[in-house]
Amino acid sequence: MTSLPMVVVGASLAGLRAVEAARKAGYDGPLVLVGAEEHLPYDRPPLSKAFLDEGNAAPEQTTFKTEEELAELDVELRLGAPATGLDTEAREVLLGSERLPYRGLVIATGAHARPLPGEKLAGVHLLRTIDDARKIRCALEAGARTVVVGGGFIGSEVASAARKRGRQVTIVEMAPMPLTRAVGKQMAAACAGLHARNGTELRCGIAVDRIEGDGQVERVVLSDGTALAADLVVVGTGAVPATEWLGESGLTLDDGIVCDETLATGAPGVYAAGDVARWTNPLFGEQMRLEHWTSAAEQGGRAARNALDPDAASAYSTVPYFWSDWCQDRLQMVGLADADEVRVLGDVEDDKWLALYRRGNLLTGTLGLNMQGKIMKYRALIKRQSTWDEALSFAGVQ
Amino acid sequence: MKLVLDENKCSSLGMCESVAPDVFEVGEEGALTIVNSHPPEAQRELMEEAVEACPTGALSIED
Repeated sequence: MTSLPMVVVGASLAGLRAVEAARKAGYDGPLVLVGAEEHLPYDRPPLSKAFLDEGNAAPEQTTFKTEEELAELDVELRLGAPATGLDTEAREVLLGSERLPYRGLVIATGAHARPLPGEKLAGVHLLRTIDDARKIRCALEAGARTVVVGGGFIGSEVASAARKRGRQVTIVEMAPMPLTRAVGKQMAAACAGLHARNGTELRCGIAVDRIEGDGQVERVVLSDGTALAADLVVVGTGAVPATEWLGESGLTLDDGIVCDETLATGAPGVYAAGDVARWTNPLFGEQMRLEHWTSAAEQGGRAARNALDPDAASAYSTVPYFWSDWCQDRLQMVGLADADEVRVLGDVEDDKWLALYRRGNLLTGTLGLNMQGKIMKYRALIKRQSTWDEALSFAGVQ
Repeated sequence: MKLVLDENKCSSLGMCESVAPDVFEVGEEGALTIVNSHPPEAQRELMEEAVEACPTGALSIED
């Protein structure tokens, strides 16, 4: 009797960690990794960071594992094969006309960069895949005047990469202040201030009306009529969870696949991980969907172990963590940004500061600029559900 | 068991410290120090977790 395979859909970080964890857990049956892109699993954070820098990063360096290393894990790779549907009753993943049965399934299809409406001109790019990053890198090398649409982390990092090469760059952000959801209103202003220091022009509270050019982009026209000359436009206006193939699946979709604390989707044997998963984080008792490296890696492993042994499924609890590199500066955030109070330690005009976030009487978040030596100590405090007073005392301000 | 740090890859993101603060610490100047590069065998699982948690793949274990 041949046993059904364990299937992982999505061949990026979470999917790779899922197959690795399955083997590490002692599963020696058939294991299939399905990926929409042609490429072997690769690392995405560098794509908007070191990959864009001058004289840096041959593209293959972002690949996690070679084909030989993956062969050692005895994983059947199905790359360039986007999943098109899921039948949870028959327990089959649809790959076009093919039906792939599974004994357990981890969905880790990630998210797509949100596109701009309208006709697409040459020189206008999203940044999600390594193919996108290559094109942006080439344009920066060619000396492009750059306009970035969206002042989030991807947009800010691309702008930083352009500035490092001495290129002129403008960020256009529709909201009154970028990054408000990620770091809260108060600290968003501090982060936005970094752009000015780096020579990036930031235009907030204004929309892009249209992008013009004759085949190749020439200018970005804003809602007030201003025209910004551009050879390269990078659109970084957020990501949308890749659930379009699950419309008929019966899974609960609400800005991601809704999961319980153990990353279970509710369908037998089906778990989700990474950017596509909206799960209940027991540490904060609320639903969240994270687009962070750390949670994707950890959820991939947890989802696989839970899918292999649902009766022993364990919850995934975490203090969210992300980082962003802007020119010479590093921002790091642990915990949640939505808070009752934010206390800044230091001066936001300086090149080093910390901000503590309070909810009720607990420390629930910390944001640092160039505070690598401190940030994980605060992450530990948040994980232990330390009180605000304990945090202030640790910080030496009380 | 010996912990090996590739300083060219490490960018002090701090996940190893988060996993095992007794063994790894990012200092005030932002550089990672391995406080104990020969942790006891009983900590192997935790050390493997720290290696996996590194976003830049800068850590490894030599037996």
